[in-house]
Amino acid sequence: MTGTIPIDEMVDGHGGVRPHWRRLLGVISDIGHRELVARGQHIALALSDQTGMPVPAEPGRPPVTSSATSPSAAPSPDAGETHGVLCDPIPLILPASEFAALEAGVIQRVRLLEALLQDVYGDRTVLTECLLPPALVWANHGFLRGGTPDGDSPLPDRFFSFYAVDLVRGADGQWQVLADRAARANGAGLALENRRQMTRILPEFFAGQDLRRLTPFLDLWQESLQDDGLTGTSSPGQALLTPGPTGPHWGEHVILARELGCALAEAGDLTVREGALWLKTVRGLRRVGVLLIRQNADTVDPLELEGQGTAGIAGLLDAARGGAVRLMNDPRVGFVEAPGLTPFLEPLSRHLLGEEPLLGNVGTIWLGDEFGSRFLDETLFPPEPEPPQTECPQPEQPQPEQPRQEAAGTETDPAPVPPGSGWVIAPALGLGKPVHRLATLDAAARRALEATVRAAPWRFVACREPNSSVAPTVGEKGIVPRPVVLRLFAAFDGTDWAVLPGGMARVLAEGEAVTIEPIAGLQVTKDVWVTADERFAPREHPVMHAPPLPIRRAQGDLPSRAADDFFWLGRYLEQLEGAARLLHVVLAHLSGPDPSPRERADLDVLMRQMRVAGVTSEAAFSGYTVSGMIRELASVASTDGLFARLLRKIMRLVPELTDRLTREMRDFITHQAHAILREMESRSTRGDPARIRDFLTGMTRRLLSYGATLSGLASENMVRSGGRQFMDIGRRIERSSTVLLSCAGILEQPDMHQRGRMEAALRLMLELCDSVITYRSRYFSVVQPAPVLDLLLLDDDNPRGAGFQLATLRDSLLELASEDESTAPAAQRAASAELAASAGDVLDMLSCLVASVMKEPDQDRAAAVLPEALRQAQASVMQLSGAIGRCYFSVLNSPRLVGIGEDGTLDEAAT
Amino acid sequence: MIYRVRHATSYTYGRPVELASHVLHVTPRDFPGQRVLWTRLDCDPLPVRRREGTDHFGNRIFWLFHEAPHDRFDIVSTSEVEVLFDPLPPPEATPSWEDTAILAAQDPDASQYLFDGVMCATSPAVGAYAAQSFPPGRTVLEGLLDLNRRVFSEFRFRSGVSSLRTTVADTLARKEGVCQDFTHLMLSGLRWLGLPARYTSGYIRTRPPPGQKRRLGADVSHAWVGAWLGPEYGWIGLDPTNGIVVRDEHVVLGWGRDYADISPVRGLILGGGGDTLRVGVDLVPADEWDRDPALQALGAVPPCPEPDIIT
Repeated sequence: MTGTIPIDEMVDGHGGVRPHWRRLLGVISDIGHRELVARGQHIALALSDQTGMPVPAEPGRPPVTSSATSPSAAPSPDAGETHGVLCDPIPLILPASEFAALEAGVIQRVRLLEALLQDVYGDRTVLTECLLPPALVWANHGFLRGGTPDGDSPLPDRFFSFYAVDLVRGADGQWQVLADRAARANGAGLALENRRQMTRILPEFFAGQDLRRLTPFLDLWQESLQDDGLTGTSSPGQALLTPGPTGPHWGEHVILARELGCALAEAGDLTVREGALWLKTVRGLRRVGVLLIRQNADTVDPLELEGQGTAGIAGLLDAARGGAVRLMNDPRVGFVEAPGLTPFLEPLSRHLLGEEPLLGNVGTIWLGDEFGSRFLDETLFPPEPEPPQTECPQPEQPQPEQPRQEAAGTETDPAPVPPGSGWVIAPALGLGKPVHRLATLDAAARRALEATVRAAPWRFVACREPNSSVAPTVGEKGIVPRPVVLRLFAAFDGTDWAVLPGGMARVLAEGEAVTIEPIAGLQVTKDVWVTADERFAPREHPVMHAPPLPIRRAQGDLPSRAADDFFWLGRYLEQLEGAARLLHVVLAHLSGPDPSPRERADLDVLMRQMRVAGVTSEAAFSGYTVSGMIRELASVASTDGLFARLLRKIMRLVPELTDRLTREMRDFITHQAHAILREMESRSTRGDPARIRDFLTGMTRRLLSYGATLSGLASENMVRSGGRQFMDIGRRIERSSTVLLSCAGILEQPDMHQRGRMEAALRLMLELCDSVITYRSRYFSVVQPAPVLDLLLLDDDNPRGAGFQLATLRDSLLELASEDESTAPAAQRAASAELAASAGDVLDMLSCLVASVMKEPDQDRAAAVLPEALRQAQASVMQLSGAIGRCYFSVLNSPRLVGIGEDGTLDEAAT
Repeated sequence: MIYRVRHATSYTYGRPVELASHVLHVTPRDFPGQRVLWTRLDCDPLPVRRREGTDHFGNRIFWLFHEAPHDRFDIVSTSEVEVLFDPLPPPEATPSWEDTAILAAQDPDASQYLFDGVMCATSPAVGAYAAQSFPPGRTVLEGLLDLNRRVFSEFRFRSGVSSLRTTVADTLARKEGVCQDFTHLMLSGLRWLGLPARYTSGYIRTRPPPGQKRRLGADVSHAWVGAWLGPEYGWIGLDPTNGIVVRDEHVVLGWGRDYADISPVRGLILGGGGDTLRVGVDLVPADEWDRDPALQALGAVPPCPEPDIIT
C-alpha cells in the first residue's frame, strides 16, 4: 500500500463509530471475543455441511499467505491450499443511502455491458467509431465466434440474465469497480447461505436491526427462471451446469441449485437431441428449458467454440439459437471480463447509453496504445539508473486519485520505492493468466516481465492496487481491521434489473493484495447487511404466481449420475458390512485356546474366505498358532486395508450427493468414517494378541453398527423412490453376491465327504450369513443341507439370504417397470421389466439347485457338487448389475472430435 | 470462367456411430470476384436436424445432427461458381506496407485478421523471414509478391511431412510442407509485420497430364493466403504453393484466421472407431463437365437451379 490510510468501514476519521455500526458493536462486546470465535466455528461447520466441502483449517482466522513476499500477487494456488469458505461473524454493513447509490450504479453498469455486447456481436459501431481498439475485440478471449442460421439475428434477446461485480472503496470513500464477473458470476448462493447461518447462529446480532431481507430477491430470480421455463407445454425443467465436485465453486453450485430448484448437472448428464436439451435421468431423458451456466463459457459447446477438446454439450448453441433452451448467461458475456476494456467504459457509456457512468473503476491503463506505451516507459519500467522519486507526468486520461500517489511514498518511506509500485500488470484480453505486482518483483523477475510485456504490450493492462477499505473482522486475539472486497449481484426479472440487497464481502489476509484476479483457494467471506430506510424503500415487485403444479409422487428427475453414486454407496456399504461380518466370525473362532484339528479346518476355510473377500492379502495362516494368526490379522485394520479403502470410497461419494442426502446422513457418513479411520491410525501395531483381538473386535462392532445405522437412517429419512431405491439395489446386488460366494467357497473343500465336515460347513455358512438363530428357531439343532440351503438361497423371508435379495431386487425393478406413462417412457419401462425378469431367472436357478439337493437321498453328496453352479449364479448377479448400470446410469460416453483431428493428422489432403 | 465443383466426403466407421453433430464448410461463398450460381448439399444418411447459415466470417455453413446409429456418412456438395477476380493494381500504386499496417489497425473489419487463431501462432523467426521482403518504404503489393515468390521457390512441396500440429517455425526450419503449411507460414509472417492476412480455403483447377483422361475425384482441397492492400484495393489472393496470384483458376470456399476456423468437416461423434475417410474433389469448367459422360454420370446437377439456394 502506498501510505495513504484506507477508509475504515466502522470508524470515521476522528475515531468515532459510524452510526449504522453502533448497535451491532454493542452486541459484539456483550457476546465477548471468545464466544464470537466459537460462533465463527459453528458457522464454518454449518457451511461445510451445506456444501459438502471440508471445514478449512482454523476457522475465524484468515490464512496468512505468502503474497507479501512472493513474486505473484495472488495467494499461490499451491498443492496444499485448501478450497472452501469461511464466514466471518461480523457482517459488512451498508447504510440504505449508500446501497441505493450502489444499486443504481450496478444496474447502469450491467445495462452498459449488455449494450456493449449487443454492439460487439452486432453492428460493431464501437469499432467503426473507434471507441474500442480492435485488439480488445478480436483478440479478446471472451469473444466467441459462433455461427448464425439464415434468417436469424446473431443477437439474443439479451446476453445477461444475471450479473455480479466486485467493488472496493478507495481512499476517497467512493466504491469503485474492481472487476466484472459475468460468465459465471459465482457467489450468490454463498451470500444466501451466509445470511441463513448468521441468523441461525448469531440471532442476537439481528435483534432490533432493521435490515433488508434477501428472500424477495431470491423469489424474483426464481420466478424469472420459471417464467422462462414454463413457456412450453410440458414444463421443461431448469438445470445448473457445473464443472463438478472437483471445481473450486462446487459448494456454491450445490447451494444455488437447491435454492433455485434446479437440477445440478455436469456436461456428461446433458445431451442435445432434435435441437433440444435433455437431462439423462433414471427414467429416461427429461427436457431442460433453462440452463444456468457455471462452467467455462468457451467449453460449453465443443462443436462450435474454440475450447480445445470435447468437454461440453455438442449442439447446445444450436438448441439455444433455436429457442429450445435459454442459456443464463449467454456464453458470449465473457467478453466483458477482459480488463483491457476498463479504460474505455466511460466513453462507451456516453456512446451506448448517453449517460455518465455512476460507478468509477479502479485505475486501469491499457498498454497497447500510445498513452500506455508512454506509461510503460516512464512509470512501470523506466530506464534502470533513474531514481524513482521523480514525479511522473500523468497524462490526462481519466485516472481518479492517480497523481497523488508517488509523493506519499517519498514522505513516509526513506527506502527507494521500486518503479511501478502500487501497480499490477494483468492480462488485458481475459483473465486466466496470473497477474504480477510490480512492488514484489525481484530484479530478474522484473526484467523477465518487462520483456514479456514489451513483446506485445497490447496484451496487458496496468491496474492500480486499490487502497481498499477495511472492515472489522474476528482475529485470533481480538477484532482487527481487514481489507474487504464487496461483491454485489443483480438479476433480470423479465422487465428490469434488481440488485440483491446484501451480497458477499471477501476478507483479505494481512498483506494480501487486492487485485482483479478471481479468488482461488480458501476464502474468508462476510455477510453483507443493507439497512432499511423508509426514504429508500425497496421497490415492490408484484408477486407472480406460477400455474399450480401437478402432484408428483415419484422423483422423476434423479440424474443418472446421482443414481449411479447411490448404487455404489449401497454396494460399498454392503461390502464393508460383509467384510466386517466375516472378520467378526473369524475373531469368534479365535477366541479359545489353540484349535483342535476340526476347528483348524474351519479356520482354514474362513481364512480362505477372507482372502476371497479381499480382507487379507495372501498371508498363509495354516501353520500359525492362534496368537500368531491374530497378529497377522492386525493388518486388516491398517490405513491401506480394505476397510479403510472402503470408508474412503464412501466418503468420496458424499460431496457428489450433498444435494440429495439429509444433513444427518452426511454428517453421520463422514464423521463416523473419520472417527473409525482415526482409530485405525492410532492403534498400537504391536502388543499382545489379546489386545489386538479386543481392538479388532471393537472395530468390527463399529463397522457393523456403521452399516446398520446408515441403513436405518436411509429407510427413516429418504423417500423410497429416487436415490434410496438405487442404494438398495446396490446393496441387494452386493449381498446376494456375497452369500453365493461364501456358500460356494465353504462347500468347496477337498475332504467334504468326510463324516462331519458337511455339518461343520453348513454351520459356518449359517454363521457367515448371520442366520444361526433363524435356523435354530425352525429346525432346532439338526443341521442338514437342504434346510440350510433353502434358508440361505431361497427363503424370501430371510433378509440375510440370497433369495430375499433377489426377490427384493426383482420387485424393485418391477416397480420401475410399472411406472405410469407420464413419468417414464415406454422403452425405459420395458428395459426395467427385462431386468426384473433376469433377477427372477437367477432365483429360479437357485430354486432348481435347492430342489436337486432335496430330492437326492444323499444330501451331503449333492450339496458338495454345488459350488460350480453357485458361482454361475453369482456371475449372473454381476451380469445383472452391469445391465442395471447400462439401463439407468450410463452417462453418455465421451464423444470424439472429428475433422480437426485429435491425432493431429490432416483429414483432407491438400495440394 | 464458370466452374462446376463437386466435393465428396465419405466416412466409413468400424463400429456404428450413435450420435453425431457436424458443422460443414463445404459450400463456396459469394464475394466480389466470385458468384455462386447454384449450390446443393446431399448427405446420407439423412440427418434428423439440418440447418444452414453463416459463420462469424460470413462463410456458408451447414449444421447436421444424426441420432440414429449409422456406420457410414457421405456428404456431397455440388456448386456452380463464376469466378473472375480483378487484375492486380500496379504494385507501385499501392500504399507502403507501413501505411497499410496503420490503416489495418484502424479498419473495423480487416483488423480482425491481424490476430492469431488457435493454429497459427506468431513466431519471431518467421516474422524475420517475412520482413526480408518488406524493407522500409516498399509498397505493400511489391512486398507481398516478393514474399509469395520466395516461399514458392525456397520451399519444397512434400506431403506427409506435416500435420495439424506442425508449427510455422517447424515449417520454416524444414523448408518443406504442403499448401496448409506454406499458408500458415505466410500468415504468421505478415501478421508479425502488422499486415492483415487470412487463411483462404478452396480449390484449384488441375489439368490431366497431356494425353491422359482426367480421373474422377482427383482434385483436392487447396489453401492460400488472402492479403490486404488497404481500403482502396481491398483483398487479393496469393498462392505460395504455386507461386501465383489468384485470378481465374481458384474457387474460394471461405476464409478465417487459420485452418481451424474453416476446416471442411468438424464434428463430434459418439461411437465409431477404426474410421476411414475418403475425400474426392472435381473442379471442372461447366462446359467441359457437360461434355464429360463420367462427370455427368455423377448426377447431382439439378435440371433447373432452385432459386432459394442461390445466395
